[in-house]
Amino acid sequence: MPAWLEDVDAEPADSAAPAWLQTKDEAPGKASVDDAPAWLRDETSATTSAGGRAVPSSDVPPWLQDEEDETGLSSDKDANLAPWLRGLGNEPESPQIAEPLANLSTAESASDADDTFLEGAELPRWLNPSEAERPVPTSDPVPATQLDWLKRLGIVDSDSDSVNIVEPILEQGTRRPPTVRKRSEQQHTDMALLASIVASPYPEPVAPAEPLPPTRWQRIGVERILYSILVIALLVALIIPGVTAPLQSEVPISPEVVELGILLDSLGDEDVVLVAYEWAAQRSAELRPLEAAVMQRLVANRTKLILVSTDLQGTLLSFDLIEPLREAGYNNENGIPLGGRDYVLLGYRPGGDLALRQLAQDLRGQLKSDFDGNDASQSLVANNPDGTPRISTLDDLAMILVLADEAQDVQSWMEQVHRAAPEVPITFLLPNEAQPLAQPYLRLPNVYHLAGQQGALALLSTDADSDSATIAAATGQLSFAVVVFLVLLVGGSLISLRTRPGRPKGDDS
Amino acid sequence: MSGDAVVTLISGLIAVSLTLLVFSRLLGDNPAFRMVQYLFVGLSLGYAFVVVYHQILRPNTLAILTDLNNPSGLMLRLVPWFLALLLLPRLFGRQKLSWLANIPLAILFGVGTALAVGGTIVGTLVPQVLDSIRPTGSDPVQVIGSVLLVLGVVVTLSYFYFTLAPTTRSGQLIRGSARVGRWFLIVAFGFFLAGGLLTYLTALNERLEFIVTWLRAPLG
Repeated sequence: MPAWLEDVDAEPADSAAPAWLQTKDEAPGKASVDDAPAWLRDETSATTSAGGRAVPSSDVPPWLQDEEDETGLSSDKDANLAPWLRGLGNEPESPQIAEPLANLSTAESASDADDTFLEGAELPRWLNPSEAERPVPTSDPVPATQLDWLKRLGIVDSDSDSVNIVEPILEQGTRRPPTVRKRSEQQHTDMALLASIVASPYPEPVAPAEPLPPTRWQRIGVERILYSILVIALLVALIIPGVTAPLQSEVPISPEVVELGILLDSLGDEDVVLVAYEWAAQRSAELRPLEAAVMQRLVANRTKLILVSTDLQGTLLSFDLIEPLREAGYNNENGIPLGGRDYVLLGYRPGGDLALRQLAQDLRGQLKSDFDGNDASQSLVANNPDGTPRISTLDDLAMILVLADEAQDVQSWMEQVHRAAPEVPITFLLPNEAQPLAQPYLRLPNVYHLAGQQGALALLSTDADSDSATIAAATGQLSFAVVVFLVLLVGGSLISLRTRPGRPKGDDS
Repeated sequence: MSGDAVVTLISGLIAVSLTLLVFSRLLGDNPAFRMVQYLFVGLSLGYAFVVVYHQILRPNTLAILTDLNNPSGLMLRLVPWFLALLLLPRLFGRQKLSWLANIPLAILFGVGTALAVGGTIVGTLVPQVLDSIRPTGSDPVQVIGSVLLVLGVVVTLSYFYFTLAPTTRSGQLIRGSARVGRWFLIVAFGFFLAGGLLTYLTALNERLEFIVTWLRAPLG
């Protein structure tokens, strides 16, 4: 323990402070000061001397010496300070800055007194200040307005409620806030334009010029005229068949059609054909003739049939086949119904591709319930007369016949069914619209197809008993329709070119 | 006139009237045409419900009743009904339990996707690729056809190849090939349009012939 602290311990008990401090408080005394460290002694002496005596400060740390010397006497000692501290205490307060600051403090006090935050609100009586308590507004509003930083920056003039440039309130010679800038001429121009836009009302709407009333021909339209001509021409050709006589010709029969005809003719009454109705009634113009042409061959050979559909409308259309089949003796023996002898109507199978997959995986399982809920797996279609199964898998079928109205139907049957039994011939009856899209599948082996009315007529033509006059009339009617359509298309294009408004000059687009 | 003839006449009259109402669209959109449209939609929906009831709902309900004494069979029968019930929370407004419907939908989409992928690879992709490269025979026309087929496939596919910069040499080659492929596509679309035109002209012919035949029938 240092000696000066030991002396402190030796002080009387009633003295709470060290001796040197007591000396400082009470009266200047040399004895106590002598025990303190040198730098403390200097401080004490300086304090007690009250400026009367200049104490040498060589024992005080340099930074304290500098601080002591507030009168500028120690300016030569700034060399011991950090550069940013040098001369800080010597800088005189600028009167030009002090004045706005004084104004600012005045404004703050005035703002406190003039608290109008709840002014105008309906307060309870006990919250309303009495007239005596209500602060009197200050007579000089200038300091309060100076608090508004927007106005101080000269952006808003509260008196005129308009955008304006207000001269900064800082007096000359004071430092301007760095954000204050003078507006350019362009900005002034833009502001004037904005002000004029705000001030001026919307212009009166100008009523558009009344369009000229369309002429009679414009109201009817070229398209309707062309459609009407097409309908009238077709009606005339139907009523007077001689009109189409020049266009009547034999139907071209492709080798594939011939091959399909031979295949159909080769089917017998022991063969089973799976017939799928995957079409909707809107394609009946093409699919009805196709259905009739193929079913005529099958019924003539009394080929056994399994009718199925994964399409709701197709199910309805498959029911239409029941009556012609009964008339042909299918499941009918002299008026006595014999269910499952010649055909089985499975009806609607839900699930789309899933239903087809089930059909491909377990055909016999699908026969356990026909459209009436009866078990068709015990019928003569599914079994031979001796009780052995005739149909177990797809490979037991003689042919698969699909009446499809979309290329997607072809894709589904090829992907789910034909790949399970690629050796079984599959025949697609399609509208002309779907044939090009399904063409890639139709080129594969064991895949046959007939498309449109021409396909039906071609298959009918392969039959020796077919009515060639009817076939020729149908061919002529269709050819006539195509010719009339093309003529109208060309004529309509020419009319459209002539009546089209010309482009403005210089418009190269 | 026999009863059948009267029925045929009246049903024909209805069909002809509806056909003419559809043709009235030629004069612009009108209430008569819309009435036929709504009638068609309503009939289709009503018929669909009848088919679904008779072919799906009723047989499966009866199957459950007959399997009441067969617990294992009954459980199997109830699984589809349970999955169908899980779809019902989607009907209610707050949708708190709508996540339950995700289960049957996930099964549905999963099975459907598996079927589609399997079927596409085996039933479409492989056969199409194999069919695109046919062996050439001795017939010159067949040889030209086979070469044209391969060429058409390549240039048409190059039309959809967008990831090569046209500034490079290979990019310029693809660009030129794509131009040829574009013409192949245009020709193919022309075939599609011709097929559609034939279909609609056939439908128009068939309807007009139906009207003429019906009108001629009373006259003998």
